[in-house]
Amino acid sequence: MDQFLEFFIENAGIIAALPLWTFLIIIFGQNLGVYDNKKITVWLTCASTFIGFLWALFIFLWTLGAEEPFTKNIAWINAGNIQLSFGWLLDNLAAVMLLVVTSVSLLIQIYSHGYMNKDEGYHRFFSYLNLFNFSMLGLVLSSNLFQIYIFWELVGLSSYLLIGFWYRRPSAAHAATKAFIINRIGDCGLLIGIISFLFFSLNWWAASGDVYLSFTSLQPAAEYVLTSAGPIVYFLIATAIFLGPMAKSAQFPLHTWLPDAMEGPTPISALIHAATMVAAGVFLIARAYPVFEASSCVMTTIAWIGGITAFITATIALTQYDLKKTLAYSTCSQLGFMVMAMGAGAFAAGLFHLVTHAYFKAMLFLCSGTVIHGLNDQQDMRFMGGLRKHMPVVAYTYLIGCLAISGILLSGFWSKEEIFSGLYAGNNVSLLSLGLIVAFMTAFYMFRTYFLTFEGQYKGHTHPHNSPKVMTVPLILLAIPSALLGIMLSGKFFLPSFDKYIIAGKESFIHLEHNENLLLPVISILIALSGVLTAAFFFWDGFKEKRESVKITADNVIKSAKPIYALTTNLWYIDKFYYAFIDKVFLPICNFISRFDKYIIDGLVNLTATKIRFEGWVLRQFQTGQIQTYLAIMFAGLIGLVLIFVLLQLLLI
Amino acid sequence: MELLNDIKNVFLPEFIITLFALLALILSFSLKKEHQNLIFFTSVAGVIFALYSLMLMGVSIEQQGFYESFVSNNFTAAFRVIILIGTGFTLFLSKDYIASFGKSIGEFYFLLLTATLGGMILCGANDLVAVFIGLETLSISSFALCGYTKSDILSNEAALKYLIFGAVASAIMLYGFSFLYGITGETNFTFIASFIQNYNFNSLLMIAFLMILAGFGFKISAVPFQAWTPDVYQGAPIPVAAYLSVVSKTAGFAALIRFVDIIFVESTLFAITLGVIAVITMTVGNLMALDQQNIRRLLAYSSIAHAGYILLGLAIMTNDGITAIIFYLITYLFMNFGVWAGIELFALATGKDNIDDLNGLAYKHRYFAFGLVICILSLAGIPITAGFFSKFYLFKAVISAGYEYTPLLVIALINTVVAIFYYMRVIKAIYVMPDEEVRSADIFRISFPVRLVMLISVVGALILGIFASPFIEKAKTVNISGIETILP
Amino acid sequence: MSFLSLTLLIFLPLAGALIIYGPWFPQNEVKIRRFAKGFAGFIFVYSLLFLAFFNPTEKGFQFTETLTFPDGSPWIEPLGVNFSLAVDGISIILVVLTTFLVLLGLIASKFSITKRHKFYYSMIFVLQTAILGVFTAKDLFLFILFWEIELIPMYFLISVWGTGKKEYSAMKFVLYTFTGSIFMLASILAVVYYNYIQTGIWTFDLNTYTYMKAFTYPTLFGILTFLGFFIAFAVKLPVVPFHTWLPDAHVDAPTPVSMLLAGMLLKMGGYGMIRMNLQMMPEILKILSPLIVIFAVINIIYAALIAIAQKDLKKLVAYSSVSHMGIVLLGIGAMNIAGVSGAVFQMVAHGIISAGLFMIVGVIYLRTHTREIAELGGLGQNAPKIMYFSMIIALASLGLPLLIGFAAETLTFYGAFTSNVFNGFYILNQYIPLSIRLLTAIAIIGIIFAAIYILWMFHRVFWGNMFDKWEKFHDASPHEMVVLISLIFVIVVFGVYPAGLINIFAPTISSFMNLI
Repeated sequence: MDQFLEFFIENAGIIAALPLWTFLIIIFGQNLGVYDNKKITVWLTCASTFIGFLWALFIFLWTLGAEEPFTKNIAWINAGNIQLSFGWLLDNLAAVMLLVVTSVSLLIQIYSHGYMNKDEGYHRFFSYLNLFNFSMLGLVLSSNLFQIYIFWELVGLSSYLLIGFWYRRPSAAHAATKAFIINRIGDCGLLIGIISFLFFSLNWWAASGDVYLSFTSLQPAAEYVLTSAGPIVYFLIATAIFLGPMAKSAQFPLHTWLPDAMEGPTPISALIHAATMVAAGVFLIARAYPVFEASSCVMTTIAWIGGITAFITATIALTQYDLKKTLAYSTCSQLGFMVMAMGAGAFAAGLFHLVTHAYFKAMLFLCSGTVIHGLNDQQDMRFMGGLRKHMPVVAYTYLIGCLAISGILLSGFWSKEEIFSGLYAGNNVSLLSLGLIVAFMTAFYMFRTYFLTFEGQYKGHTHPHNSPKVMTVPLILLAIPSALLGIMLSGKFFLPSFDKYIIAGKESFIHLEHNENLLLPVISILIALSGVLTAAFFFWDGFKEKRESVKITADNVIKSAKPIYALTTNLWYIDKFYYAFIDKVFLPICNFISRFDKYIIDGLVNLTATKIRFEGWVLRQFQTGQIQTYLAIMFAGLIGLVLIFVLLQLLLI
Repeated sequence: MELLNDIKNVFLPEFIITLFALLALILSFSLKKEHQNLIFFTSVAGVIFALYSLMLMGVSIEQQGFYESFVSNNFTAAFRVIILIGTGFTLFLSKDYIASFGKSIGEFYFLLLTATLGGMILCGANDLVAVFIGLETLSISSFALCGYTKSDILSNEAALKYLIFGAVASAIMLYGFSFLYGITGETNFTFIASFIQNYNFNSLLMIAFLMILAGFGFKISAVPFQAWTPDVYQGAPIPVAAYLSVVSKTAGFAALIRFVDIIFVESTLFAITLGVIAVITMTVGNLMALDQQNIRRLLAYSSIAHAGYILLGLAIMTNDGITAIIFYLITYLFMNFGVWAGIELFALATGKDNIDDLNGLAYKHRYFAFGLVICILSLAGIPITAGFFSKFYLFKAVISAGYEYTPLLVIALINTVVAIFYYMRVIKAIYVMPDEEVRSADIFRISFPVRLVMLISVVGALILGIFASPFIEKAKTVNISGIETILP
Repeated sequence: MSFLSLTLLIFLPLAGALIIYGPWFPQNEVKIRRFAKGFAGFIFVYSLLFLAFFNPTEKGFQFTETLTFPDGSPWIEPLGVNFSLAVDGISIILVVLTTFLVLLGLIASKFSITKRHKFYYSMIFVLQTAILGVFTAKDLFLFILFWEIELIPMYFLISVWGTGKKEYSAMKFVLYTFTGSIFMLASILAVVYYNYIQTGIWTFDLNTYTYMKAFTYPTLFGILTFLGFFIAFAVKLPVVPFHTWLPDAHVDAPTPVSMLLAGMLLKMGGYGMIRMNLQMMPEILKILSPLIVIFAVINIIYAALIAIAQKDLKKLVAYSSVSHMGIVLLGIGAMNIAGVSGAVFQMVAHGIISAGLFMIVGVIYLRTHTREIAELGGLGQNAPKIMYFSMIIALASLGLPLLIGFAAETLTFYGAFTSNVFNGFYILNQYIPLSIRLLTAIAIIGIIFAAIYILWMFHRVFWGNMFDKWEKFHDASPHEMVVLISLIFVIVVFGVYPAGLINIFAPTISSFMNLI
């Protein structure tokens, strides 16, 4: 058995290579006209992902018995004192992420087969999807910080391609460009961070003999950097590295690309912009945890940025009418939760939330996709309602998702509760209260979407049509982990503990054990329930008479809290500020420099030329054609020369 | 008997040229108009014989004659070769050109040979009087040559201007000679030199030097004695302009180099004077050539600029500088004659000489255009033509004279950039303009002798560019055996 | 390997030019082009053989060959000039790059060149000879000789077949380059004369000045000479503020010429800088490296910002070239193995990428006859192939991992960051600290700007709504496909496996960096 597993460990790179091959096969197969059958594409894709899933399972099995992480590296660049490598690092964290990515991806691919069936870019879609799988799996397997940067950019690329999938739509094109550029800001920070980290620890790596920037030796390296660079520079380095996760995991103030990214096909929103890629930021924080943990300032910064993100995006989600946008802001908010947890030291809790969130958020997105698909691309919730009767499977799975994300007993409850207890254990009262407020808002806006979409009367125009099995089956399959994963891995009731598993081998990390008191879970459930009730009060038809009788309807509330409402519907003016900055500051600067270049620098060059020509013109004025002038020039010149040199001679002697 | 000995030892080519000049004159009186072509062949034969006689003479040892007023050595021989070849080119250029004016052509060849005689005397002159005689022989013949096409107003004007300017310049020079004579009481270079070695410098010597420079400056068209150049080059018959720009200039340089190196080699102040004049000359020449519409005027300014570069080689007062000058003059002979031949070809066919008139030349006559462009590139100093090597060698000489000459070098280098601009304008006219392809609208007949000159020039410009080594070596040996005894 | 002769290699194109230009060759356009392509292909294959037989681990020059007269005397004896050619790790890849790009340029010429074919193809070959000469010259005199020869074909290529203010641009190019080269000429003479004073030997041999130089230059002399070289190469590279010829020349040149201009001619600047400034006078470079690095950072950021503001597609690409060449300068300024390797890598990467970008611009211009970005839009609808090829090249240009630009940029940035060439000082009365690390960090911000202008351009040109007037915009023709796919092939191969390229030149670089 061991040898059997050994094979999978030794060749773990194949997990990432499989989608790459599929990508190439689809690209070349399509463009060279080898085949045109959609079935081939989908089977290839699913098979490669399924093999990857099995592979990941074996790796997972191996990790259960392994003491040490497994690494394997191949040299990539070797020049001077720089040695960069490619390779894979297999430990518990990688195994978990591999499982999550492959499983969610597999289900979403099946779903996409139905969703994208009518689209002319079907093959293109799957080739992009495979490219994404390759990049994401490569990222997860990465053995060192530098390699993760490479795949970091590649997932950004696949995200760019998929957001811009319908590139003829100006909004999609715009969103794709925006996503890439904002991610580039993060990448730039990450690159600066990595290079400066490498610079300060270069001697250490050279002495250690380990692969440069390897995750396995990051902890002593970070300590070395801390001592050699000093706390302030270290803070800057770690913050620069954190810029990467900030952009990728859509943290404030770089979160604005994520809601726009919903321009891509819905399965993509589910896979990339909810479950996997955006979680890569959290994953990186976990991977490079020793770097951040070495400086408490950095940790605090991370925690607060997470908290602020969670809060701001939750408030925005409260007032959105676009179903996918609401979910997108909810994703931001949940990512904020995870980042906050990581920053506060609740390492395992953050990752646990990552895992549970991946399933229920993917499912929620797929549900919304089914709804949108069924209503012929209608995304506005004001034109929905009562869809439970038309698509019951979707409605119930969506409800499960809502319960999960709100933290009512299902998966989300367990992970969220761990975060809360972590915060509590760390005496982070302010963050804890922030988290609880966000939890309330989460429950409210999620159930608001549920009531607006699935309950009450249908307010749309087109007839809702049901979706094929290929789309509903993945929903059901996803509903299972969404509901049960939390409790299954909670470590309670003699069930296996996710925390223990993920922390294994990392005991040196700051880790806040959540204590076993009942108070926090109860409070969090109560808060979530009150959120649900509030949502029901405003949006459920069952309370219609009641709310009309007390005259507290949604519209009234909006009217009475106009400034706040305006703030949230305008997305806290962050995007507007960015656009204003670009239009009013950045582009004018560029234009100014461009003009400066054209008129001043080039102008100087041309001026020199003109000046020389002018001098020539002046000289030519003496060429009158009259011999008198010529002789005058000659005598003047001669006398001048005589004067100068005779004087010079007199002076010299 | 001594006279014959002197002629045999030092004066043989000059003597041959004199004979043939007289022969040409006699023939031009006696032959009918249809047979005047014979005079051309006579003159060519004269030049060839003169060249041959130079080879016979054995110039490796310095010899003096005519009471030490005329010397013959490697150095003067080199210059005489350049002058003779230049004269040969001019003869070829003249054949069709002068004939096209429908006049008797005999006198033309006579005058040309006389001018050559003057130039050759100038090369070997070792006495103030000999210098003056050579200069005047050259000048007076040139005046007549300039006005040869007398129905042409521009030609008349050119002749007159040249005459007046030349007369004044000669007068000033003579005045300078008198100063020099007054100081030293000698007319012979060698004696003057030995006198000056023990002489305390004063302003008088400087004034004498500058005044004498006026005469040479007029010949080589150095600033401020350059003003006649454009008008004369534009007005004079093209072969004469070519002759003036190459042969006359070479003769002037030969005399100037000997004069400066023998007499004024001692003081750095003379070097500075020459350096300043060189720099001003090249700058003025290049600046004035910008935006010039007439290609003959453009060439005139370009020749002023080249005079500046060549003077630079003299200003540094080293052996290497002299070698550079000799090499430069050899290359200049080819490239400048090439361009003049091209212009003449064009003028013969179309009667035009503006740069814009050259538009579309490349479509009509690709090989002619190609040759012309090679010569222009050579003037501009673009590799791998001769002009690049000569400039490079010159600059190398400047820098190896010492780092204190770096300012001169930098100014000269910047000048080459300015020069590129107007040379490229000609190339642009030939190859780039007009935008649309013109289909051989007016293909013209190309005169054979001119074509021959052009071919030789282009080949020369390329060969000198690619295999410069033997020529530089030759220039070096010529220089060392001739001048080293004089230079410190 | 007696059949591998560098002299043959550099004069083969010239022979091609003569064959085409001569009267014996038919005027038929198709025949001329076929012959030119075939000939260029042959030269490319021949240059590949050099690469195949090149031994990267050997130090110093290889394939050295010196032409002499039959009696054994050197080419220009009085000057001590030898006609000697050689390649080392750096020049060999630039040689191959040149032959490769010329081949592609000739293939790309099919649609963009519509007149005077004989003249055009012979000029391209003359240009190739000049550039190969620059890269293989083992003698300073030869170097400047070929450097200046290159002006003439380039002048014709821009001014005859260009568009817009082509004569002005061509003249500007010539004057700029020539101005630079006279400074180089002065510096070469100064250096050679200095050597003459020291050793009594008048020689232009590159080895004398680079590998085993027995003396160091006095500081002031060194700085002036260094600046002479630097200006020449800065014009070519180009370094702000000597760059203004580049946008003009690029915009007005025909597509294949833009490709060659960006792909090969700019590399002459970087190559010269490594050969002369770095290898000949490292001690001066060390003194002046803060200046160089600041110049580099200004180059990267300034040009990138200008590129963002451009409304003309070709100008945008031209300024992106300036920005990317700043990275080369940064690598050279870093003065360590990683930095210089990165610079060389970036030269190759930029050669391929910018050629690709100019090709794309040419492809679009051919169909639309406009380069205004605002006039374009939605072109991807009718031409997905062009769109995807452009996308890959554009992504390579902004430094996406696993494409060729990334390894180059990362190496350079890393080299600059870890450089100890100057550690830091304060300017403006101790208020502003400045160190190479800070400057590098600023330079890295350039990758954001690169993403902005490249993606924004791509977005505006290929995505979104299509104007009705581009209904007939047709997809890539086979010629264009061949060019683009070849470029992309290189982009991907060396992007994924940069060691394949680095291994060729890294030993050379480390050998001379160790000497320094």
